[in-house]
Amino acid sequence: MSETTRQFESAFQSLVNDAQWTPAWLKDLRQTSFEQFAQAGLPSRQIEAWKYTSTRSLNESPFALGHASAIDAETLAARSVAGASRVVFINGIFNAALSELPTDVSITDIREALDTDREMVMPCMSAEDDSLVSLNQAFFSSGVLIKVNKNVTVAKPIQLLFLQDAQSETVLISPRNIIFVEAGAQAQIIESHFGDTKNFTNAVTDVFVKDNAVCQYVLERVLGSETKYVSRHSFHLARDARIETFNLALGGRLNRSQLEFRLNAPGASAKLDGLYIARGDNHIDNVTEVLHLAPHTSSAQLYKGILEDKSRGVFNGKITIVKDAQHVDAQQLNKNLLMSREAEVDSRPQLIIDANDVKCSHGATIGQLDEQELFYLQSRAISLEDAKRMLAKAFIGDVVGRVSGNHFTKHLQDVLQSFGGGAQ
Amino acid sequence: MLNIENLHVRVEEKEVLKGLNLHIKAGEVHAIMGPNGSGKSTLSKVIAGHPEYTVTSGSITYDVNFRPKNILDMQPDERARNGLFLAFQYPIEIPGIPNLEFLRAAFNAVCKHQGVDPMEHKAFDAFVREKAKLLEIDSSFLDRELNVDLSGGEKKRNEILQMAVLNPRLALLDETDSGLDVDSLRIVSEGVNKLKTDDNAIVMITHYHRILNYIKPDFVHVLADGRIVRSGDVSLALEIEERGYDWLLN
Ligand SMILES: Nc1ncnc2c1ncn2[C@@H]1O[C@H](COP(=O)(O)OP(=O)(O)O)[C@@H](O)[C@H]1O
Ligand SMILES: [Mg+2]
Repeated sequence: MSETTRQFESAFQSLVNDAQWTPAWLKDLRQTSFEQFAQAGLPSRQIEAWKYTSTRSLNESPFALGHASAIDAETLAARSVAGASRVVFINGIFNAALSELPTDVSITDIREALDTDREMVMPCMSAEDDSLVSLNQAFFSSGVLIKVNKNVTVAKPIQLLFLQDAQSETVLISPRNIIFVEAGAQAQIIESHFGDTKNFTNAVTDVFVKDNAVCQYVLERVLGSETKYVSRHSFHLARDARIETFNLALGGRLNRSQLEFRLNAPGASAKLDGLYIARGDNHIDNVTEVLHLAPHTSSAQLYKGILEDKSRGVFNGKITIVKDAQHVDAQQLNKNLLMSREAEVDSRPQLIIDANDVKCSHGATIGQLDEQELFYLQSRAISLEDAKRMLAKAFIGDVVGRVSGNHFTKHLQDVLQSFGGGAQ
Repeated sequence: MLNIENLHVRVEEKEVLKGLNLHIKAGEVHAIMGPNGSGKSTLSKVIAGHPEYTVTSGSITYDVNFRPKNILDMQPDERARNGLFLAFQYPIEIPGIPNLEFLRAAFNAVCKHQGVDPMEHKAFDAFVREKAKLLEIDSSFLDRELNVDLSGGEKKRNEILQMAVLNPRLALLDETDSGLDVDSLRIVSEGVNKLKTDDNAIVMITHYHRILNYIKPDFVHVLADGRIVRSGDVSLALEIEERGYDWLLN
């Protein structure tokens, strides 16, 4: 066992020997996964997708399991999306009392689901070569299986709301979600992670969007300066399926998402919008990987970031178009605004094309606030600070506007407002 | 109100203003004319506090609370909050900032400086629409992004709308007349005249005599090669109209 994996050892022993968290049918999976993780260790910067992001902050103290806890009504209200059903988790543990489950959708605890819906869930439990997925599989104690049945249009968005409160120990939170949006169905999912603790969240989600189904998926992670978060999402798209994602990252000591889109059949389309704002010593890393595996598929992405103070941002966007995937339309744009001389961003858009009849564009920009624009605003009595804020807000205006007209809109504005700085 | 003494200004290693003097009192209207590249816009931007221009010697004082203050130490926004206003020769476009929001931010910044409460959104809306009407600006302008896709003339009108909202004590209008057709010129001039009182002052930078038929200057100055080379009354403008600048340059 390596030095880095030792941080997880004692928590793992308590988990695997506790029948409440590790029912008989889960024990093997946990043990194998933990061994895999211990073999591989945390991702190193030798791995291409981790080139600009270090996992050093995960070595500082041993991790413990979360305890059930309460959260005050005001905090809950501020984090909830109005008009949405919600499934609330605190320190990684499902809280039935605070949840408002939907009536038109089947939602099962993920550990139960491994027993009851084994053939649906088990195929997702393969860690491939991702040690963090192994770590999640060793530890997951919360999360849901959501099944949206054929041709059902879910009435309200479903918010998976992960909250934390500070405990004396540093907690490892390992959500695992699997979502099936069956043929012709429509659903909106909002996966929210809020935390201002030293905790480490390691989330894994699979979303299957079947023939002609439409899924809107918001991932938001609003973190304090000591909070750690990594996640891996895989979206599997069938014929004429559509996924629309909005990925919001605010703050965080380590705040990394990796979104993979597998466009498996003709007519599948994916929209990827993202917004990240880092300040202080925050480190935000967004990885997107779009795999055009069939002809007549399309993807469009716009990620925008604001980096303040000494913060660091990373955008790693890879589009792959396989041989025979003709008539693919793939667009990608990443734009960054550096608000200080000490802020840094690494942007790596990549295109790998093996088909010849495709329409692709990609690009990345990194810029500062425009001196002439600042002067224009200042010449109209607006303070330098306000002028900067207005221009930063203008910079992200288009991507924020992409979520207009749905339940998330107001929530997003409130979250940006309370995060403050260039976001207001 | 504004006193400029022996002003020398450099921009990118080039001396543009070379010992310029100008004195403006409350209640006065001044016109500054001069050939292209003589330093007129430079002068206006230096007064407004543009960071690109370096004052190498001389002084600019401006009355704040009836006392002359060295404004070279003041940030551009502080100058503006104290009643200085520059209508730009080339107003820039700022995508993503709605005109109305921009006007409100500007107006509220001045309110805050004066220690009064910001105007309520609704009241401000009505206030701005009133001003827009005066300048015959379509109110759909207000919802558009700041100057984006406006014609040259529309941008100039928008500058005067900002002036009307901020009601400055000293307004510098840098070639506000160029790009305006006859009707627009009349409307804009009438708007400016309505804002004119005994307590404020206007400096118009212009190439043409045209605007001086609408806004009557008390003084006309000719700026050439970084200095005021001649000052007079409105007859000087007429003479320039007839004879050009050459006779003044040697
Ligand atoms: N930002 C700048 N950078 C470089 N040169 C400038 C800049 N602003 C003005 N100048 C130069 O200073 C001189 C005066 O310009 P300007 O003040 O715009 O003249 P005017 O408004 O009288 O036509 C010109 O030679 C111009 O090229
Ligand atoms: Mg000029």
